[in-house]
Amino acid sequence: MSRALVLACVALAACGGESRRSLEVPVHLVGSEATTFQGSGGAEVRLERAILVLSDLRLESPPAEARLRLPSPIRAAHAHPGHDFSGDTACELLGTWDLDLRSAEGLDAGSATCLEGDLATGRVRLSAEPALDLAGVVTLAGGAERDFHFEVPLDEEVSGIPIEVRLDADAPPSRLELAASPATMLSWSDWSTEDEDQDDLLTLSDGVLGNTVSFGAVSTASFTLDLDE
Amino acid sequence: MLRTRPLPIALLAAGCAGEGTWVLETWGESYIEASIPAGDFADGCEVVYDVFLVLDGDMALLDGDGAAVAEVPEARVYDMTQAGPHEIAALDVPATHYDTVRWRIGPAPDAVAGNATADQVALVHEAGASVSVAGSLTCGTDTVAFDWTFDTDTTYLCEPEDLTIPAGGEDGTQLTVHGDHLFYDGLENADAEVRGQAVLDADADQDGRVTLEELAAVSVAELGYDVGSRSEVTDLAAFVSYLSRTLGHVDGEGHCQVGLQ
Repeated sequence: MSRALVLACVALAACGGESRRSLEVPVHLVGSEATTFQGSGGAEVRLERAILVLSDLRLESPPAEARLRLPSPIRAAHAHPGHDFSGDTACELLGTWDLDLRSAEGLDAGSATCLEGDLATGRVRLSAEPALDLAGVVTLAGGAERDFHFEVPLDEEVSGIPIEVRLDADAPPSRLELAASPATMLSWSDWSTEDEDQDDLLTLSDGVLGNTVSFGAVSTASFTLDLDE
Repeated sequence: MLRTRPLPIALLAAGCAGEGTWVLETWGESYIEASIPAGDFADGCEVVYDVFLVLDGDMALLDGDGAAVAEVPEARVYDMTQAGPHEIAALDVPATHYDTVRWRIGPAPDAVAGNATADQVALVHEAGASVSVAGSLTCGTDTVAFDWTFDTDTTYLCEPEDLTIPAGGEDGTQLTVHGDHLFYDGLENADAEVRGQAVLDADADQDGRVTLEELAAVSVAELGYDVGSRSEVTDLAAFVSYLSRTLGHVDGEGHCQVGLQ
């Protein structure tokens, strides 16, 4: 969805007598500062590589606003089979960013074009081969060390990331931060999984690691959105 | 025949005079009445429902302002395995075009029998249930039974494709229940597939009966199932319970928005 469409929504809202002003909000992407963390079964996970490719960040108004059936060009799609729907898009930043999840600094992604008002949820796309590239060493509870390398191809949106705040054009936030947690992404994975191909490296093809790592990569729980006032 | 609210002024102003009849029915289609055949499962399983109780409530036809122009006065319990469609009500409404039908599947202690038996009505009340299903799942040569009750509470706002009530005539809406949704492998993704093997494999004590407690011991992450934005759904019991919120459709394949009220 283009920035022009967000601005068109401003115009439509104005014509309807419900003016919502636009504002620009700088967006910062960041991973976890901790490169070592606890995994399942008492394992200690040490990341040596952690790259996440993100694109197209959008924030949405609460669903209740969508019930007004304003002629917005940015309607949310109705999913099947769930049919839940989010509110209209209220912030948008298009682009693709390679985020080093081990970097404490993160990266500035640019400025999102937003409409003032309440926000409820956010969504971001993970679409690359691989979209997530994690490598490192895990130390099991018994002391044994195992190397791992997960290259996760994805083409999915992470949706429903909560952000319950209100944007005010008279007091714009200094920045919006999207944080991604590799510890959460790996929290569903069983580090005692058998190395089925006996290559001394845990990969997505061993056991159900392909499922659990992919599940964590796109889990809403792996992401947080915050506004800095 | 049930009377409705006074004719809205807006409709009079629009020149829509007279009344017609809105006929409301519900149907579980062949998936619930007969079976979900192996060809419709991505993993070749098959399901036959013996019981599929749905507690329908808050059924109403809404005008363009979201106000109800006709409402079914009480919640009703239907066993969708019985041959349908099942007529729920025929209500007088202003003759005009409508685009929203409201429908709730949720617990209602005062619900009465639609086509369900007195015992079935008592069962859902005792369980505080909104949906109660029992049947068998077969994958290859293995078969398990299931008997699950859900207390989810879901309001659907449905969009009939072309509902126009003519003056002196009638048009209808079908509240369609999709029995295959309980076996989807995704909660929100458009390309979710119907799968049964994971449910069959959940029979930990191998007694030929898969309970919700056994489903709760199965990790959705390990299955590779897709929960979309529902990251709180981590086990197969919660997954199937959530899917019980997706059963409602309109006029066959028409979609409904969920969770607005």
